[in-house]
Amino acid sequence: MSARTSTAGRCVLCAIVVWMAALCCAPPAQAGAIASCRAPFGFGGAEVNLVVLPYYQEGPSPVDLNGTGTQIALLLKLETLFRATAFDRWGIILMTGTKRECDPDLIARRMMASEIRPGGRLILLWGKLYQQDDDIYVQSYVRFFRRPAPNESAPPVQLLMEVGGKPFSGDVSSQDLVFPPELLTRPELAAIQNNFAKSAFFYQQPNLDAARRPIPLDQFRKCMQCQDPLAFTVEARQGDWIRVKQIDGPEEYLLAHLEEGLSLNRRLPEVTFVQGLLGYLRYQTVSPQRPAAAMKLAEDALMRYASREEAAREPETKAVALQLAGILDSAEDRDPSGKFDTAFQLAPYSSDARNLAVIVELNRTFHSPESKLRPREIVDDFVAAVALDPENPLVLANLQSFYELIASPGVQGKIDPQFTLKPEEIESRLTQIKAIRKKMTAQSNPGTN
Amino acid sequence: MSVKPTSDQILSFFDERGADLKAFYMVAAGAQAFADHQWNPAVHFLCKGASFLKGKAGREDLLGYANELASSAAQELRKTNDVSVSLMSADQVKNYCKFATTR
Repeated sequence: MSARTSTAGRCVLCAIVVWMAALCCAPPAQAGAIASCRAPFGFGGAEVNLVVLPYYQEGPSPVDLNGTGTQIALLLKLETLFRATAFDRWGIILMTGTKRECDPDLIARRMMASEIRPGGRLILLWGKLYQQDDDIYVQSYVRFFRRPAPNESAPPVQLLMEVGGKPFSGDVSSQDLVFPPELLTRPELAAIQNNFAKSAFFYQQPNLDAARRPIPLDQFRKCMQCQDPLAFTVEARQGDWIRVKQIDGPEEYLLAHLEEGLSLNRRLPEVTFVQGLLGYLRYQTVSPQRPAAAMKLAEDALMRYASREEAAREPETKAVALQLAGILDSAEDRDPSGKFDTAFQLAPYSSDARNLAVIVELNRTFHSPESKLRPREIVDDFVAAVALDPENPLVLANLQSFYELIASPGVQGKIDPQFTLKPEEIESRLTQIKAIRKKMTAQSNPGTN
Repeated sequence: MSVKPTSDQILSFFDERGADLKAFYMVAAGAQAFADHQWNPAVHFLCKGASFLKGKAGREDLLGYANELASSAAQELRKTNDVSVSLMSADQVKNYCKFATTR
C-alpha cells in the first residue's frame, strides 16, 4: 500500500469514527443500524432504542425455518422503521448472529450495561418459528426496560399521581410480553420470501427497477465486520419507501412497507403494539410540552392492538396495551379508568393491574364534584392487590397514602358516610402499615440497619 | 389431593391442545413454593393458577385445591408479625384467592 493510499485510508477511517461517534452520542432524530449480536450496538443519545433479533427455529421441522426467521426479522425492522417516522429521537437496530449470540437475556444485559444511556429506554423484539403437525407458526416476544438516570436508584414507576396532596403510583402488570402464535400458510411463507427478496437492498431510487446493492446481512451474521455496525440516518418517508443516508454515501432508499401477499401487520398484530410502545416510551416522560399528535398516534396503535381478535389469546399482553394507552390518556387529561378496569379483568391475578385500576378510579372519584369516596371499598381493593403479591411495595405505599388522605380534615366532605372508617381504626392501620413497610425495607436492604 | 394421582389422572388434567398448561404450571409452582414454606410466592402462583381455572368445566377439583392451599399459605403468613397478610380479615384469608381476584 502506498503512503498516499494509506493516508487516504486513515482519513476515511477517521471520518467514519467521527461520524459513528456523532451518531452514537448526539444522534439525529431517527436512525437505523444493522449490527452483530457479538457486538451489540445502541444509539447512545436516543431516547428509545429498539432491537430486533432474528426469529429462530424451535423444535424439529423437515424444512429449515431459520432462514425464514432472518427474513421476518428484517421485514419487521423495516416495517417498524416505516411506522416510527411519526416519532423522533429513536434508533432501530437489527442484530444478527447465532442463536446463542443473540440470546435476548444476554443482549439485554450487554445493551443496558453499555449501549443505553442513563434514563434511556430499550425495547427488545424477538421470536421463534416452529412446526406443529403440518403447520408453521411464528410467535413474538417483547421486553422493555428503562435504565435509571444518575439520580435514580431504580427505574421510575410508570404512573405517578397526586390525589389530595398524597402520592399514588403504579406500574403496568408486565414488561415481559408474549404474543399469540400465528399460523403462517404456505402462500404466506412464500410471500415472506418474495418480500425479503425485494427488501434486502439499498435502492438508488424509490422504485424496484432502480440500481441497488444488497444489505450486507450475511456479513453481520457471520461477523466478518462485527465491530462496526452499519448505521444510517432516516431522512424521510416516501410512499412505501424510506430515504436513508450513510456516512459520505448518497441518499438511498429502503422498501419498508410491503402489503403484497402478506401484510405483516395483518398477520402479526405485534407490529402495531411495538409502534405504540415505541411512542409510549418516547413521550411518556416528556413534559410540559407534549407532542399531542404523536402521543395520540401511539395510543391509537396500542388500542388497535387491543381491539384485535388475536390479542384476546394473550390477555396479559392485551392488558398491558390497555394500561399503556391509559397512561397516555392520563398524561393528556383524558379519563382512562375504563381501560384500567378492563386490564384488571383480563389479568385478575396481577397485583399491579389491580393497583393501577384502584388508583386511577380513586383519582377520578376524588376530582369529580358529584362523587364521594367509599373508604371501606377502596381499602379492600388495595388489600386485595396486596394479597396477590404480598411483597408489592407500591400497593402498600398507596394504602398508606390512602389512609393519610382520608385522615385529612379537608377531605371529610368527600367521604360517603356509609363507607367511612373510624379515626382510631385509621390510626391503628397506619401504624401497622408503617411497621410492615419498615420490615420489608429492612429485609430488602439487610446491610442498612 | 389426598392420594398420589395416577399418570392417567395427571394426563386427564391436560386439554387436548394444552390450553390449560399455564394454569397447571402456576398451581404446580405454587404447591412447590408451599412445600418450601415460601408463603408469598405460594399465594401469588396459586391465585394466578386459580384465576386461570375459574369457570372451566372439569377443573373444579384443581381449582378447589389451589384455593385451599392459598388460604393455608395465608394462614401461615399471618403467624408472623408485620406482614401484608395481617391487613386481611379472617374471612378474607379464608376465601383468599376469591377475595384477591374479584372486583
